[in-house]
Amino acid sequence: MGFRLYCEPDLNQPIMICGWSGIGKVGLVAINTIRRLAKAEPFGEIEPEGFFEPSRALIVNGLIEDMRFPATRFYAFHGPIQDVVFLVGEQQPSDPHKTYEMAEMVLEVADMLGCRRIYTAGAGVTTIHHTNKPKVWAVPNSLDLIPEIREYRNTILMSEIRDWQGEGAITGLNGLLLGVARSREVEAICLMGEVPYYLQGAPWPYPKASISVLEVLGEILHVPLDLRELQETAEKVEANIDQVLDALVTVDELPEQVREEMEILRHPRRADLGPITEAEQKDILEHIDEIFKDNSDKEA
Amino acid sequence: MRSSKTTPTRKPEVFRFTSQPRLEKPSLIVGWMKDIGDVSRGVADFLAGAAGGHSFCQIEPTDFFSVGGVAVESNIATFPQSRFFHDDHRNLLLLRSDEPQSRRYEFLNAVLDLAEHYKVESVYTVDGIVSMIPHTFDRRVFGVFNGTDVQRRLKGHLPAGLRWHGTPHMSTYLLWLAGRRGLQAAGLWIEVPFYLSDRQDAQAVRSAASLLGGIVGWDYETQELDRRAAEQEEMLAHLRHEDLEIDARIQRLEEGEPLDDDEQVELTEAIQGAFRRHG
Repeated sequence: MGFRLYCEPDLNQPIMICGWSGIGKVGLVAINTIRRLAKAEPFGEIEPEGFFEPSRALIVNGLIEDMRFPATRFYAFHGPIQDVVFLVGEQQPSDPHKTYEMAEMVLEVADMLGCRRIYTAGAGVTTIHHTNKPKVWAVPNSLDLIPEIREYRNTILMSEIRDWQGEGAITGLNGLLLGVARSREVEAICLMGEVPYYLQGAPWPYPKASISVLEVLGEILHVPLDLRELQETAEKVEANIDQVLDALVTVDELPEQVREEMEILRHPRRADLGPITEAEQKDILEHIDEIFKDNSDKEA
Repeated sequence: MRSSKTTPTRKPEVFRFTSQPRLEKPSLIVGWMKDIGDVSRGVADFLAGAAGGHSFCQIEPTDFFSVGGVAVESNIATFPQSRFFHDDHRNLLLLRSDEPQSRRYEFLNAVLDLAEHYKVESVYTVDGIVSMIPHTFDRRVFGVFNGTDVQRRLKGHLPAGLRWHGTPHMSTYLLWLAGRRGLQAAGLWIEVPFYLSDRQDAQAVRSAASLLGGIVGWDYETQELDRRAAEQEEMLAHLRHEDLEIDARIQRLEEGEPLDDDEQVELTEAIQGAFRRHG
């Protein structure tokens, strides 16, 4: 396991912005979008063998011509006020030890390139409705960063989330990277776009949350981002969600309590959404997941 | 270009040796315990038996298998095993193993570490592949190679190459990793009639063992494999005679006429049921 740089980019004290696949593919879509819009150039990768299972083999006339793995690539971008390294990870390691090894490796590259700050992007699962604009939750790895975060648009700290009192957990690399960076005394901030709890198991991306994250990143980098394409995708996803909810309430076996919650989700103006109990949340999730599973099976 | 490597941390106790055989650039055959038509297992069992049946080394299961309990199969408690055998007479190393449930990369690299330790010249894997052929046809064998050198070397034995684009099988992953170490490796994929895929296809096992013997120049007493293949043929002939529906469908396959999905399922169930009834 290691990393490979195709070339050494000429970067001056860059910041690193990382996005991995996760809930709603929020981070992956956000960072992939910004690196594409910025026309950032790939310059290296983390070698995937050992971190991931191979996803595809190409065997032609008996010869193994290719073995594909989920990619974790670095891209370089010279921004108007600062240089940037984007890291786009198609998948996160499933083994916690390997997740830690990857976090160490990313920080090793960041250190080598002189990165002074790390951003990670992901999803924050909450009781937001899918028709609402997601906020961005920001978690820094140092108290010193809080005043700066308070200036970010549409962004809240964990202490501002109802009932959370500033505490919570960030799973996977988005969180671990903050911790490993802290142990190396590198500043890091995780930006999480809100995703409705009933969509956390959905097989499709939730671009609306990615857009919120991108709006924050665009301001940080002072880069105007044309997000119309992503906005269109977000609208299609929203219409899709409405269809799924409409289909769900017609299911005869749906318990009455869940049906009522579904009605609230379908017609959010009729009543306040929250708070709901954990048991209710579990019931809804189970039924939503079943529907998504059925749909993905059909697509497959 | 800059790069950095970290060696995968492998616990020293990954192997448990009971002896250290002396071999001169042996071949390594890898057989898995579960595959289509039980071909891989059948060949591994045969080779292990011919080698005397004593393993000299095993891979400890804790890193690669769930060891919180045991699985029960056919009334018997099972436990994952990954054992190496050696056959000094034929200069052969054999791995007879369950497929690892986790950390496949580390497992396969451990296998290749051992192969390098013994200066293995070539690695071979054997697996069954589902086919629409009837059991009365010869089993074709398709090759998979990790480089053009080994492909050229084995062209006389394995003229037909497999085509595949999708999730790689464990054997293919092993071949590819072997290639990364500069180790020649080939996979033998033996056709198994679909209606025999859930049980051991003795004919396919015999074909695979025979071809493998030809490739590496071994001679084996194959009477036992011949006897089991003949028994299987006899049993299937009896079933055809006993059940005209089975006979008609196999005959259609012999005439090159495909069966639809339902017919395939029905034929498979009929054959499996008949085998169960006849023990």
